Amino acid sequence: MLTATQAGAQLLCGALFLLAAKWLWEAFFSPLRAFDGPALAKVTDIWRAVATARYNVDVTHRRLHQQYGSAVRIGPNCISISDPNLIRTIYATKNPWIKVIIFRRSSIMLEMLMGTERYVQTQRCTDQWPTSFKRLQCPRRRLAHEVHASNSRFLDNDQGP
Amino acid sequence: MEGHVRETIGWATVSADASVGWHWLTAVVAWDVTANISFGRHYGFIDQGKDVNNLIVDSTKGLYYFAPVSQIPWIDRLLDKNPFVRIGPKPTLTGVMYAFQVVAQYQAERAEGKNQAPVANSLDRYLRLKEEYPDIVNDAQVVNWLMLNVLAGGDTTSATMRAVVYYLSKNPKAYEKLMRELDSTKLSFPAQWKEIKDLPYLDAVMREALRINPGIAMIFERVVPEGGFTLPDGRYIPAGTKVGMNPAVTNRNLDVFGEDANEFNPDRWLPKEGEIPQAFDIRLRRMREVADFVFGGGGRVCMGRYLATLEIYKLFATLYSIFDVSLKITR
Repeated sequence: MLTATQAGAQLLCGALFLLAAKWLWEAFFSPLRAFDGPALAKVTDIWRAVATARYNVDVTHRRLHQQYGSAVRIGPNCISISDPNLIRTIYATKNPWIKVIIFRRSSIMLEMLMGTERYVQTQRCTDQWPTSFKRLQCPRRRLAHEVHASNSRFLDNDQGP
Repeated sequence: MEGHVRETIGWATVSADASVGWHWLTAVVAWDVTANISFGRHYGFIDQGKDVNNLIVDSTKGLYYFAPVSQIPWIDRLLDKNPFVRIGPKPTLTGVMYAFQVVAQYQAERAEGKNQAPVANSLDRYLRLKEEYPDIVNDAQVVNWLMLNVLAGGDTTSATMRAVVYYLSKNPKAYEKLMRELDSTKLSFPAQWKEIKDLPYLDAVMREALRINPGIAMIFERVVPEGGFTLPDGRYIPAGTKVGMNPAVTNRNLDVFGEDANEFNPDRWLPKEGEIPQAFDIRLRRMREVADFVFGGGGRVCMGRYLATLEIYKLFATLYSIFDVSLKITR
């Protein structure tokens, strides 16, 4: 019969085996194995949530880049980059790289604010709307238009109220 | 729009006196400017000298939650979105209720025949849009649009303003230089953009504060598109990987900003002694390109960027030309 000790030992062995397997996979097969970073980052994102909750994640990121170079693995599927030459590539205007969807089930308001893909899609669904309205309804575009128009106005020609 | 900014900043300046904590004053100006632009009225932080309806405290609590959770999004389902016990910030209900109330009141007034002439605030424009397209826009949509202004323009701008106060107080040399520049310039009250836009030291201080203390000091995450991405050093990142940069990292780049990149030094934005103009131009352009990333980049770049710039420059040109600002040691 299986005693509690034996069961515990087996569980522990199982867990160790899984960890070892994950470690081997990370070391030899992971497509991101070329990227160094904190050991925990290979396994979980939790560490960076904790680092962010301390309100000085900017300091952490600078330290990591000093330690590991211009590309740091900060999560199982996430790389932080520090080379300013890549800003234009990663944050391109043409064919922009999509934004990570953060709060999927949050209010559409938050999604508008963050410009998530779901929001962009709901905007696309409105193709049957009148063109004149479409030009106005998309708040992002509308606001951009408004800001840029008034920007040139108020930055160059601030006559006061 | 600039009229609203001037109005709020003028009001803040006359309301300011020695008893007002400047960290507080500068924080609320950003909120009341956005309120004025959005609703045509202030929240009342400046008038009442307090956090009306706890709007700012509640918003800050939201950030305390969203910042860590954004690093590991699925955990939101266990915390805020789990079906049993909600573990998360209070929804920003006060702000939303306030917006609904303002929208209802404005419409009632319009029905009575008031507010007929177009006014330059978002509320008026959105409500006109609603009247034009009643089957598409409803009150909830108008409130959503208005809340966007408020949520995006509050915390980030006020964080930047507080950084300006902080770094100027900690760096007497920079403060003296700025004061000399403002003293030698004739400014209206509140300062107008055309009077201050070419003040080199004001510009340098503001850029430096934004550089050293970006409003969002986190990684803006993007997904590597199909085909993957090869870094300049040859390493390959497969499609679907999240990548991103933190402006708080790029803004301290030694190659771009020099060996003293970790220090607050507005002079870096001005020609060095003996620097050839062409060399300075190249250096300046490079610094601007990189430092501008505090507003993000590409298609999703911050839309309130120029509004925030206008607010901040006007506020500090006005305040610092009138007041002498110094640290008070309270311990």
